[in-house]
Amino acid sequence: MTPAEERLREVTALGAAHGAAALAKLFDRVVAIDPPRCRMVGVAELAQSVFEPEEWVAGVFVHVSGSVRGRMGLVLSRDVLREILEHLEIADTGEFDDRVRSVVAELGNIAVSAAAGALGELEGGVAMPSVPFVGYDMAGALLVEALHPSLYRRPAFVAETDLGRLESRETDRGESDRGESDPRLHLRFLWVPEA
Amino acid sequence: MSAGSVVGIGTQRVERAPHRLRALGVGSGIAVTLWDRERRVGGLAHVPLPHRDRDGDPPRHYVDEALRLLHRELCRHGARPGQLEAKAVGGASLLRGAEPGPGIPIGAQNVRATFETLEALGIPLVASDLGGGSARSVTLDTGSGAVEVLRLPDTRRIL
Repeated sequence: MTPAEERLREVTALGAAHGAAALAKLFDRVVAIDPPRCRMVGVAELAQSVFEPEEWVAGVFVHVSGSVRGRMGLVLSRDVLREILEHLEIADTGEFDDRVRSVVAELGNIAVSAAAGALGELEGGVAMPSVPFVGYDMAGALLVEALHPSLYRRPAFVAETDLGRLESRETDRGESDRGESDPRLHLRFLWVPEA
Repeated sequence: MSAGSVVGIGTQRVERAPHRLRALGVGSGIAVTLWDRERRVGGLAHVPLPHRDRDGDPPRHYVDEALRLLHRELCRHGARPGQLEAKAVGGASLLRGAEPGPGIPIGAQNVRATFETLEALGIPLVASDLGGGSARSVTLDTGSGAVEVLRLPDTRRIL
């Protein structure tokens, strides 16, 4: 990794931390945020090295313009999305209907905009995210289209972090009967800077 | 028969029967199979872009160049130029919201480039599953020429 790439790796991790913190604020009981782990991979290898090509994921993506330019995204696994919907008391029908799409767009937009804004500040400039675009399908296909096929040869910076459990509202009343299942929500932020 | 060989995006592969060639998560890109019924040899190209927009990339990244390359490679493996048949899957648009880019969506451009290139090569397109709003995985059986198309959660179709 070149010094420039190493710096991009660091600022992406910091941007993702801001994005995760913004998401955590939406939920009243998020207890822990791990520092993001960030690595660089080719966009074409993302689906193989970070995701499974046929893994069913939801993603929110924006174009970032201004003095910092590129594509940024937040990708949620099926399980994480299910957990969020449960927390928001939205019925999970298994379909990516308008209600679910709206939730993903809203949450993703908040997180990605925070991450992009932080990244812009860290780079000493301004990063302006576009209106988000949203998809829900096989990771391999979604990532290539979202990061635009003409960018797929470029390096992507992938920052992964976990949020502490979104505790149920029953917890407030001391009635939670949640088991010992995975207590964390895994978030994957993507940043593909334009040359 | 084994689970088969995965043909990643921007790559292609030719195999004789018995073999399965698989392209996983085909979205706006396109998966094109060419197959010689008598020689039982087939190839699969998984291509992200319609036409070359810059120098330096390998031809397998662009539909027009990738299909010509696949055609040549099949002929080197014993396929007869006039006996190949094609099937094509992909060219979808998965994203909602802001347009990912100006102009004709990349999936539609890939479909058009596929039609044009197959016609130029004189290869008939005998079956296809193109466009729409969902991703597909594609498996070519080089023994039968059958192409299985999978969409999530578990919708399967044979071309």
